Amino acid sequence: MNKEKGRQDFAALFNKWGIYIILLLMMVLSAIASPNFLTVSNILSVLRQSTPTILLAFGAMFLMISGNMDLSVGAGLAFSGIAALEVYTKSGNLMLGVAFGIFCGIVIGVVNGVITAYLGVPSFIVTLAMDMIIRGLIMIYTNGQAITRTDNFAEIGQGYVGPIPIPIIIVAVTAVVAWFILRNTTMGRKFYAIGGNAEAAKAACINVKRVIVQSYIVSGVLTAMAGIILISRLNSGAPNAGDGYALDAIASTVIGGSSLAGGVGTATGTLVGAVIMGLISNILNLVGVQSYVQKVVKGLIILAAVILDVQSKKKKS
Amino acid sequence: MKKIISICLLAGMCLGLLAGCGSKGNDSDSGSGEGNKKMVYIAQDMNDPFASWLANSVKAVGGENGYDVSIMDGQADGAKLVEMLENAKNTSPDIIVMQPNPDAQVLRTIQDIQKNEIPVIVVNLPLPEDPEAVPTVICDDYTLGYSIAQEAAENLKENANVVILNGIPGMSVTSERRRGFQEGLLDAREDVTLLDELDANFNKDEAMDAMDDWLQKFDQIDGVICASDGMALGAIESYKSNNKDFSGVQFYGIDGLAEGCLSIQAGEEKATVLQDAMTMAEETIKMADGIMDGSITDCPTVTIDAKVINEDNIEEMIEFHKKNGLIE
Repeated sequence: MNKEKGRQDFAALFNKWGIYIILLLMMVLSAIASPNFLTVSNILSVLRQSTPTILLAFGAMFLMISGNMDLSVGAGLAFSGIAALEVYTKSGNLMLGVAFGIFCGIVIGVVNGVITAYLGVPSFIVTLAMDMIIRGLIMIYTNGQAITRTDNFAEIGQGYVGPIPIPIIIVAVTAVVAWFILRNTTMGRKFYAIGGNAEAAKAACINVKRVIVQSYIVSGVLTAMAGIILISRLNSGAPNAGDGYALDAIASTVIGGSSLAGGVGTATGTLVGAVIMGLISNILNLVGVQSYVQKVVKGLIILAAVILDVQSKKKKS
Repeated sequence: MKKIISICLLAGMCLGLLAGCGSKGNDSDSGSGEGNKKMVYIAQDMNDPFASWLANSVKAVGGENGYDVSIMDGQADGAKLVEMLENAKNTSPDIIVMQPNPDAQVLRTIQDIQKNEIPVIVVNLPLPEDPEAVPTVICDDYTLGYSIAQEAAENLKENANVVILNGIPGMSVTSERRRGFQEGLLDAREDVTLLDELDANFNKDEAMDAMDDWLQKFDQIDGVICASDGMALGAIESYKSNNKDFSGVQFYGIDGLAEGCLSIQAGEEKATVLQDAMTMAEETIKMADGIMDGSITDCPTVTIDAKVINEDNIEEMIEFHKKNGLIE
C-alpha cells in the first residue's frame, strides 16, 4: 500500500518536474565529468549558443500548442537575418534593419498561416514548400556567397550589457513574454483551445482560422529575432545559416513537454528543453567525445528524455 | 476567401515564371546568342559558396567564349546528381560539365551519355570510380590540406597547441583535407600537440559553437586549422564574442573565398589556400573547345595548383576577387 502510494507520488512529482529533474541531473553529471562545466563563463556561453534554438523553440511551441508546425523556420531565419543586415548596412540605421527583418518574419508567417488555415493545406507540406522557396530566394539574392559587409551589425549577437551577452537578455525577455501570453492572455488560451480540440473551439465561437494565422505570425516574429541574432553573431550574411535548425527547435519543444498532437506545452518547459539540447553538445565537447560518437549520444539522450516524459504522462492519465 | 487566395497564388506563380523567363533573357546578354554551343553545368551543391563560385565562373567564361551555359544543382545529393545528368542528357546539349559528388557512382550514367555522343568533362574533383575515365580539370583536396598545413608548420611556434575543425564526415573532401593536415603539419612537426578535433560540417555557426566550448576547456590554443574559410571565420568570431584576445592565435582555412581574404587583410585569419575557380573555369572551357574541335580525343587531366594566400600576397588576391565581382 505504502509502496504503491510512494510510486504514485514519484510519478506525480516526475510528471510535474520531470524535465527540470533531467536538467538538474545533466548539470550534476556534467559538473562531475568536467571541471570546466560549472563556470559562469561556460554557462553564459551555452546560453548564448542556444539563443537561436531557444527562440525558434518558442515559435515551434506556439504552433505546436495550436496544432501546427513550421519546417521553414531555418530558411525564414536566414532570410530575415540577411534582410535585416542588408537594410542596416544600406541605411546605417540599426533599428530600421531590425524592424525590416521582423517585418519579413511576419510576412512569411502570414503566408504560411493563410495557406494552412484558409486553404486547408497541411502545415507540414506548406512550410516544407516555403522552406524551399525562401532558401531559393536567398540563393538568388546572395548568389550563394556570404555577405561580408556587416559594419557594426555584430553588436547585437556579440555585444554585452554588463557581463551578460545581449542575446541572453533578449531570450530572457522573450521567455517572460511567451510565459505571459500563454498564461494570462485570451490569445494564449485560444492557442490551447484550438490545438486541444478545434471543433470544440469553433463551437465556442473562436475564429480558428484567424488564431492559426496569429500563431504563425508569433512564430514568424520569433524566427526573425533568431535570424537577426544568428547573422549578427556570425558577423556575415551566410546564405546557408539556419540549415537544420527546424528539427532542433521541434525536438527542443517536444523535450520541453509540448505535445505533437497539440493543446499541450509551457514556456518554461520549452526553455528547459532547448537548454538541454545546447547542454548536450557543450558537455560532449568539454569531455572530448569524438564527433561520430556525439551524434549517437545526442540521439540517445533526446530519446531517453522523451520516453521518460511520455511514460510519466501515461502513468498520470 | 479560398478563391481569392488561390487566384493570388496563381498570379504569383505566373509572375515567378515570367521573372524566370526574364532572367534567361539576361543570360543571353552575357555573351550568348544564336548559334552558340549549348553547355549544361551540374554543380555539386549551389548552397556551397565554392561550388556556387565555380558554377558562376564557368557560366561567365563560357558566355565569353560562345557557350550558352545552363546551370543545374546537384543539391549535395548523389541521387540528385544522377537525376540531373539524365535531365541534362535529355536537353541534348553539345557538352556537359559536372562537378562530381564523391558519394555518388555516376560512371555508368556518364558512359550512357557518351554513347549519345555528348561529351562530359569533370571539374574540381576526380570521378570517384575511375579518375581517368573522363577528361578532368581538378584541384585535389589532399593538396589543399597539405599546402595549408605546411604553411601552419612554418609559422606555428615551438610546442604549439592546435585544434582542428573538419568538414562533413564521410565525404572524401573532408578525409582528404584531413590527411593533408596530418602529413603537412602533425607528422612534420612532432612538437605540435593536437588538443582536439571536431566536425563542424563546413558551417560557420557550428565552428563557432565548437570554438566556444574549446575556449572553456583549453587555456592555451596557438593554432586553429580548419577545412574551410567559413569555419576559420567562425572560430575567430567565437574569440570576439567571448571577449578573448586572439592576437597570438593563428587561424588557417581553405578555399580562398572573398570572406577569408578580407579576414587576412584585416590581420585576423593567418592564411588560406585558394582553389581558383576562375582558372578552373578557364581550363574547363579550353578543354571543352578542344573536345568540340576534335583536338582532344583522349581523357587528359589538368591539375590546377593550390595557391597559398597570406599577408604577402593578400592585396593581389583582394584585387582578384574585386575583378570577379566577389568584393565590392
